[in-house]
Amino acid sequence: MTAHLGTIAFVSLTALTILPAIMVVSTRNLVHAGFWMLPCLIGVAGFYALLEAHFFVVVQILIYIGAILVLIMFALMLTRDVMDPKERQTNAMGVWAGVICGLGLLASAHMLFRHPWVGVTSHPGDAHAQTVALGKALVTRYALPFEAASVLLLAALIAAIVIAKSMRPPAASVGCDGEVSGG
Amino acid sequence: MIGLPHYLVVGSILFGIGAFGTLTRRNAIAVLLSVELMLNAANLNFLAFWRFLTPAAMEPHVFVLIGLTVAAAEAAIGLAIVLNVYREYGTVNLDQIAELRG
Amino acid sequence: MGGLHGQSGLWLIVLAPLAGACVAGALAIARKGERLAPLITLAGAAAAGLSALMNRPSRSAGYLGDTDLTWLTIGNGFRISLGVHLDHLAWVLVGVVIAVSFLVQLYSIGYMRGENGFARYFAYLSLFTASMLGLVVADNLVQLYACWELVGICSYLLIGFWWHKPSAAAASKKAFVVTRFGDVGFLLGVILLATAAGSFDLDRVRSMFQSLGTVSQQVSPLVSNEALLWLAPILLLCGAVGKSAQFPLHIWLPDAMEGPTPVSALIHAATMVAAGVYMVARLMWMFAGGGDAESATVQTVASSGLTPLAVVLLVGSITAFIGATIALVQTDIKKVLAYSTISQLGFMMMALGAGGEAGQSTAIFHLVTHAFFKALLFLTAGSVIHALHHAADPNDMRLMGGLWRRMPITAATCGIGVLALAGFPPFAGFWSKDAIIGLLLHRSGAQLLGVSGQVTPGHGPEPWAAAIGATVAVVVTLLTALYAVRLWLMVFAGAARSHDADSARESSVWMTLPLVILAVPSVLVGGWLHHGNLLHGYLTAHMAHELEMHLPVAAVATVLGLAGAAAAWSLYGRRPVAAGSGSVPSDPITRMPAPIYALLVNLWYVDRFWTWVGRSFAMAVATLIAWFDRNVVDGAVRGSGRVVAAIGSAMARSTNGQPQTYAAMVLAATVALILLMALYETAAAPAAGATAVRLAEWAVRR
Repeated sequence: MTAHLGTIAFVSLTALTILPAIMVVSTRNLVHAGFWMLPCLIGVAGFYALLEAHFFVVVQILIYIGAILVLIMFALMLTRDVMDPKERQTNAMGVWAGVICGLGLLASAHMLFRHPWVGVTSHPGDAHAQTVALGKALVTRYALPFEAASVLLLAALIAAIVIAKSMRPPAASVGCDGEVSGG
Repeated sequence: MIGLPHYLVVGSILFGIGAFGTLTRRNAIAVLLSVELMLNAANLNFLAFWRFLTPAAMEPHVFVLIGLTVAAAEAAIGLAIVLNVYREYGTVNLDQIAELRG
Repeated sequence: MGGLHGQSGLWLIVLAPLAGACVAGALAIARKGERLAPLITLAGAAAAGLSALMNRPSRSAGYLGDTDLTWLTIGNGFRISLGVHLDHLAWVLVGVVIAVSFLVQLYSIGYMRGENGFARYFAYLSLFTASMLGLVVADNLVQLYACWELVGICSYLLIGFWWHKPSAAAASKKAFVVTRFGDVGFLLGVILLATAAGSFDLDRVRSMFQSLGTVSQQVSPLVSNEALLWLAPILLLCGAVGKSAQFPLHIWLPDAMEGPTPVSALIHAATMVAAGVYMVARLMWMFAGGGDAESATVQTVASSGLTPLAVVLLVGSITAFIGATIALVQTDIKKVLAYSTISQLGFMMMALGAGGEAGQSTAIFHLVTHAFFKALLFLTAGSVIHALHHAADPNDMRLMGGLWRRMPITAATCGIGVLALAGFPPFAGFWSKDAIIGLLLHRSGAQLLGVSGQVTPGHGPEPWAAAIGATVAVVVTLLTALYAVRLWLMVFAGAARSHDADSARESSVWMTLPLVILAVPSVLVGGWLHHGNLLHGYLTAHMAHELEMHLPVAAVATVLGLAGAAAAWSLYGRRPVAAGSGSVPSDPITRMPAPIYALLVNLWYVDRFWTWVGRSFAMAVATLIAWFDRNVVDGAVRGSGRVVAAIGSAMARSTNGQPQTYAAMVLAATVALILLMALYETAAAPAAGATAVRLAEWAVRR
């Protein structure tokens, strides 16, 4: 029964993740694409829950959905032409990219199922224990990677500000503009 | 019974969709969205491996955390660049921006 | 193997001039201190000379050798060494080469003053000296061949020293290509001998060759023993024919006079052209059919037509005759000397063709005397040309005349050279030429003029060939006196026939000093070597009775020489050539019967013959090769070029500046790898696949 529940949960989560993901890469309206990202990320969070990685369920929802996705939505709405469903939204490589990705998928799925994975049956600790262990690990053994990640994030944020602030002289911008739209 | 391969396959499908989007989307922000899909696929794989192979290990969690950080940083930088490009060229369509051409 | 006592000082004979060449070459490249170059190369030559003087193989001893150096080892024990083999013969040649080279370099200081490429010139001269000495002391066939080609290269470089002159460039090419004809034969001979003997060492080759008559099984993998006995010397002779300007490959030597005159004296009169003669003398045991040089035994080849010695003799005879006759009608002073050189080299070959130690020694005797008097003649010609170098054609004897009043030293020394060349007693040429005639008469079995010839069957060349040789030698003696005296009279006697000749001045002391120095041996060296029995005694194990001088023979030769000189006097001296009404005065020698004159002035049509060969045969081959080159070789090259260009343009289209395209390519490559691994599944495949996927992830994110 539990096994069945688990299977049902897995299948429905798969549907919840994969179908919106397909919509994300295929829909013409980019704002819709951004919104389709939401169920997809929630589905991944569901997988995390199924995998008993409770801490990351929270992180996924808070950071991915609450921060990153919102940021991207802002950017989408700030740029022009994004709402026009008549605009072509894919480039000329569609077929080739499909072939490449499809072949890659087939090949990796083939290998994944042929490999004799030696699984363990034991369950990880509960949410509280996991979070405590992760917190301790991050300030003891993995302090260095953690700090590196922090520095990376800080640098990225400063860089984002600098890049977003820097403005070319208007004349140059106009010239470039005309050139590109002409082509 | 759902096992490791199933999760891995979901991860690869998600990755494949993300890769497809990354390659085909004209809009730079949509490309960023696709990249986020691929990063999610990677994180999913990490946690699946953790759950089924090494449930006591801490490393997968640290990896996922760093992956998240990278995703956030990438989103921030990417969006800054996209905004700048938009100001500069008036478009974020990548096939109209071919500055890398030698 | 190994000499009496190995002395590393021996190497200095070759290495000192080589070092001089390197330093002078460096100066030439750096274009700094070019004036120092002659000092350095002269020091190198002097060091080599000192080393040779200190290492003289004594009369009774064998040779001095030094073969410590292994050059190459091929397979199991097939060894090519670099060695010095300084026997009596080599020592004499070393002395001549160094002496002439030293004097010519001294002379060149004055002659080449202010020339562009002064240091380069001396570097070439010194390199030539080193190569020639390496050739002379070589103890194996590879070293011999390598130095043989090196002197050829130096000759090429020096003939074409004034490369901006089209005629000089053409002459250098001609010399190189024509000698190559002979060198092909030489190389084939070397290969033939080496494959038979299993070694390049001359000692081993010799013992192999001497065993040919006695062993029953075939020695060479290529030819039978009998064929080897005949073929090997003939192939080597081809090389000598090219290098020593023998008929029919003599045609390069007159053209080689385009080089600076001192070069003509050093290379194209005294030393390099003697290389072929020296090589035949050195390998006399081979030409004599494997017997000792002393006994000149012909073992088995007598039945199969001409002996190699007879071939040598006949080639020499033809060359001597043709050279002397053409020299009669030449008007270019250097061309006269060039054809004279060809003729004299023919004499040396004739002496060699007589075979045995006597032939060897006589040929070297003539080589030594000729080296001195011909170098002298060339240097006097250079002095004259230098004095007239403002004239339109400074080499044309018809525009000279009366120079003895303005250039007394040159005239006197040239006169000595002419008398030596014509073979008047007691000048150097008299003794050696006389020895050759006497030896040939002896080999022909003749019983006249005090010669009691005797022929031992199986020894030496066929008697009839020796008889032809002796006759030719006597006739050429007459002709030599005629053209030699003609040269002197045309240049120095009578009145000046051009403005330039009228205003000529004697050359500087740098140039006249070597003339005087060379004039002394040109007078004395023959009699000195003959009377003291120095050369024959040094070179031969015992004084052969063939080498005794026969007064009647000498008298006849001298009378013939006097007749030639008298003929020249009647043509040119009694009534000097008038300054003609036209631009170029006419030459009385043209009054000979027209067909003969046409034959001579057209150089016996040998040049025409080779031109015809070149046009018809070589051009056909060349056209074929050119077609092959254009269509097959170039086709392949162009085809591969087109393939690369097609790939390139395909790649260029993909390089469109869009990061997505690049990412697609990276991903495609990764997928291809994964597919490959899926097909060739190994235990590591999934892990590697996952790594590849992650790599792709990383790449795409970039």
